[in-house]
Amino acid sequence: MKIETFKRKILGVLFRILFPIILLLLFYNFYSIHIYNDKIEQSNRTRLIIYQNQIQKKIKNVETFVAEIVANNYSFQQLVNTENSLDAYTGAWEVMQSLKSNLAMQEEVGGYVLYNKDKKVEQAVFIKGFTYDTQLKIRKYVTSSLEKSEGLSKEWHILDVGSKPVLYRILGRNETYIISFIDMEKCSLAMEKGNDVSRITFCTSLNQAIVEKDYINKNQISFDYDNDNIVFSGKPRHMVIGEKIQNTDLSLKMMISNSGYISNLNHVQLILMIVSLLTILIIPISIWWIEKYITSPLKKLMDTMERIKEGHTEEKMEDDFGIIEYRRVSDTFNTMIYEIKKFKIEAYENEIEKKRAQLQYLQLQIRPHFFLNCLKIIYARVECQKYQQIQEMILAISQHIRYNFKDNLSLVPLQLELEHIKNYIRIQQLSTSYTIEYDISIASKFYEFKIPTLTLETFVENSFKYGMKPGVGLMLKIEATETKGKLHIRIEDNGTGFPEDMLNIINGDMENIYSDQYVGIANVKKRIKLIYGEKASIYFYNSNHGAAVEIVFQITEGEEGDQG
Amino acid sequence: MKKKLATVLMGIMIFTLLAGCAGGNKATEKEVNTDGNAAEVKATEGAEKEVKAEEPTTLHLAIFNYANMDDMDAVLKKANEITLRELNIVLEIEVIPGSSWQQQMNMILSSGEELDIFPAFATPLATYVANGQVQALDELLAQYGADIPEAIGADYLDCGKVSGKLYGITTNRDLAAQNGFWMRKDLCDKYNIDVNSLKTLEDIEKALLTIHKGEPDLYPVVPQSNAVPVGISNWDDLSNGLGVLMDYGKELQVVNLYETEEYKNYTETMHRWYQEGLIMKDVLNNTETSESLVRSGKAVGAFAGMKPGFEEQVQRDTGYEVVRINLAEPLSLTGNAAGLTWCISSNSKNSEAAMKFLNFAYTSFELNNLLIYGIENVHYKYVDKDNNIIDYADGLDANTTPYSPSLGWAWFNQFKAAIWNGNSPDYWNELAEFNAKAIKSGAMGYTFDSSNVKAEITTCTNITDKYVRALQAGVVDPKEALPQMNEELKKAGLDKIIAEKQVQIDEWVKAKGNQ
Repeated sequence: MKIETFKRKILGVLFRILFPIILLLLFYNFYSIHIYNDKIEQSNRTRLIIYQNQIQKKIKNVETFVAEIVANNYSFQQLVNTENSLDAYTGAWEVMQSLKSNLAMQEEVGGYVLYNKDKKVEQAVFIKGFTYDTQLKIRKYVTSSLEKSEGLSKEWHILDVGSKPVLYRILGRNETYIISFIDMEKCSLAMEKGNDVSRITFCTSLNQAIVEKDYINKNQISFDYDNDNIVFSGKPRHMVIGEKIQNTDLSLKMMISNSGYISNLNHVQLILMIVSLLTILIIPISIWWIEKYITSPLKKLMDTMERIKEGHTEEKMEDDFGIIEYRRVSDTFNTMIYEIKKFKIEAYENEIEKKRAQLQYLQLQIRPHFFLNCLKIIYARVECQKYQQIQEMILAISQHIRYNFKDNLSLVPLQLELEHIKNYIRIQQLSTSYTIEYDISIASKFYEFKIPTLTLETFVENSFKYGMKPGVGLMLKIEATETKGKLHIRIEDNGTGFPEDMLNIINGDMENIYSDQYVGIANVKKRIKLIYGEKASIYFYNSNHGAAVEIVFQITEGEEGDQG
Repeated sequence: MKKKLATVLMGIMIFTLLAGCAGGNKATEKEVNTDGNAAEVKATEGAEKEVKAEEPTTLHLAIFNYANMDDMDAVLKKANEITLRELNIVLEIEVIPGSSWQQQMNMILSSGEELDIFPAFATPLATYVANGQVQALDELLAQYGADIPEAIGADYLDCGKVSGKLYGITTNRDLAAQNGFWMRKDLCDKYNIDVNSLKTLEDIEKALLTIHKGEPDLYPVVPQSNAVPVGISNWDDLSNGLGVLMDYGKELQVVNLYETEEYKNYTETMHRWYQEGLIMKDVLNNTETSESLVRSGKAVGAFAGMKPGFEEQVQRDTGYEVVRINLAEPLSLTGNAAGLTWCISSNSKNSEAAMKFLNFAYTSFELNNLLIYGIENVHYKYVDKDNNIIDYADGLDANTTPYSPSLGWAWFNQFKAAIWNGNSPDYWNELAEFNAKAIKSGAMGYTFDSSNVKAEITTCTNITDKYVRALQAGVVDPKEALPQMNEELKKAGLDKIIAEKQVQIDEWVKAKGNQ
């Protein structure tokens, strides 16, 4: 499994969820817009087709009407047949009357011209809007095209002279022609203009526009002959759709100003689309949000932990997180740190205590008075030249010293401690004239029991220091008993005993008592506590004979190891 | 908490946007309604005001226009100050475009829309009378219109009579026409033609031939657009040319014009002219006015019915100085005067007030000036106050003025108004004299009643439509066309029409004699 930061993981998950959703949303939006635009284009095309049909229908009407006259009209026939110029004139006149009344009825017809060159017939009627000049130009054009024997045309053709574009068709027979004109501007007007968005024009086979020329020039729209596909052209962009008008050389072109998908949307759609686009913003917002509320606090937590790890133990977690879990973590962590600190402090304090005890011990160990005393005795004996005593004393002292300078927290077998006591007593005996007797009754099975150094010896010393009744020799008793998994070692003397108030003190907690008077006891108690904790205890009391000290050790399966 | 607030705000925002889009429409609707109400309130207030002041009579008047009259509202306001002051009458004038005048008038008269005074124009007065759309004015005139006969002249007043009763009052304008020919002077000068020596058609023909040789691209003679070029009509056409009174109507004998020597000679001359190329080849298809063709330098001249100041007018119009050749005496037909007459509609509720107004209108300098020319210093300004001569106000011309001064002949009495710059200070006098001195046809005052021969007239009119234009433009050969046309006319009952006219005239003469 790939290991990565929390931030990356969560962002990864977020992206994997959001991305598809947003993509789907965007896709849906654009697809809908696309469909919508398609529909618009379709409806535009439908509209265009309607106009196309309208125009084709009009054209058909005119064709039918004129063809009918050419085929069946009596006066037309007269015109064709007669050689008489008056009859030609009257025949033409009658035909013109029919054409004139048709003109009045048809909206988009611009005019008619009746023409027979040989019979000198050229009669014309045009609707208002065609100046005489324009009429002449148009007539000239069609009659000269007839001259060129282009004759009847299969299609309607566009003629754009004198700013009045017309669609014309020549029908007739026997050199007698009726030329019909459709007014393109009127056709253009008949198509609903509506709005600024779409405009319609006619386009020749040479891709020239007939009407709306200003608009087309302004927007630089260009046409091509293709009517089947939608073409885009112009600035601003226009969608151009076209339909050919049958029987003519014209196409109908619709130009829809379309600057892209967007322009067709109404307000609501636009807003919805923008809002859905804005959903992309969810990503940065989520990232920001996650950053602010999840990863950043986490980072703070991590950083603080790092710092603590590096040793800045006073660091604390900020607890102004917005998330409950983080707060809990923070609180817990703070508590943990606090506890650790406490433990550390306690450990340190323990260390200090140990050190202190050691110091004390060392202090005890050094015991200047004792050694000075011994030296004094040696000096005295030297003077008396009791050399054997001196040798013995020196040996005893060196053994004493050797034993003394053992590590204060190490454990020694009981036997060794007893040896040391015996040695000490011997020194004392050599130093004093008083009688010093002792009785050590400890079963040999206890010999291997490990106890801290100088524990028993301290009390023996104290007996020597404070327990001697004047005039009476010192009697020491040391014994060990076992009860229910506990070892009792007792030292008793025949001295004056502990004073009452002293008993209270030394039986109590002697934490902060370091005065010289109690230094030995305090040290032992301390060391016992340090090493054994609650598993050993010391009692001081006065027995029948004198002061008594009882140390109780808890015996476990194996022997007590070094707890130093 | 923050999150909840944000979501709610977002939702509100979107919702408001959507609602706003839909609501926008409602807002505009409300506006419209409020405006509508405001307009109504104003109207009622206005009406109340009117009611309070001694209820001036409101007269509805219609007039046509062929040129810009956008400022009619402003002019009307000023006019109403005058009428209110003098007559306690307030006018409401509806301006109708000339191209749809006839149709719109038909609609108004048949829909019962309020209309008191209107001009019978384009549609013959007789038609209105026949349809019962105008009321007889004899009594009203006697009571409230005493000044009118003097203003226009009794003869011309009679032209507004149909079947002996007065229905329409003509305006002071050129009520006669002097047929003749006019042409560009510069070309005459160029080809050394002595304009003073031109007296007859033959003289003109010679002159035109000269010019035509030298200027083959110009049309020597052009018609007055669709109108029939009539060179020398000194007959009374008795409103339709089917049966006329020849020789200025001196003899009250109705004859078939198209069988007369005069007519035959005239059309043969014209045919000759056409073949000589003196008449515009495309004459029958022409849609431009002769002035327009001359103005654009394409033509030399045309036939026209002329009046005093005609040359100056044409010169103003074409930019060329023209010479005028009179080919006949000034002749006045009923039709001249009856061409436009002011009538009071049959369903007017204020006939008396209408006649009072007409009486005032025919005599008031202020009102006529206002209606014809517009507001002083807005539309026109005096260039010669002593002689009452005016011109366009500064910054305006024929194309830009919002009140065209071209309906002087249509408004009641332009003789009582200022004279346009370019005409002599004596213009109205000249015109009045022209009217007075013109030969009045013997049938002056008589209007043909066609009810008995309606069908024949329709058919005959079709026939004359077919031939007469072409004949008078010289396009067809009268040797062939005239007999053919006459044959068709006879078949169509022309004789019946002629007989009917004769009977009516004889009766009319008798009736007149008895007065």
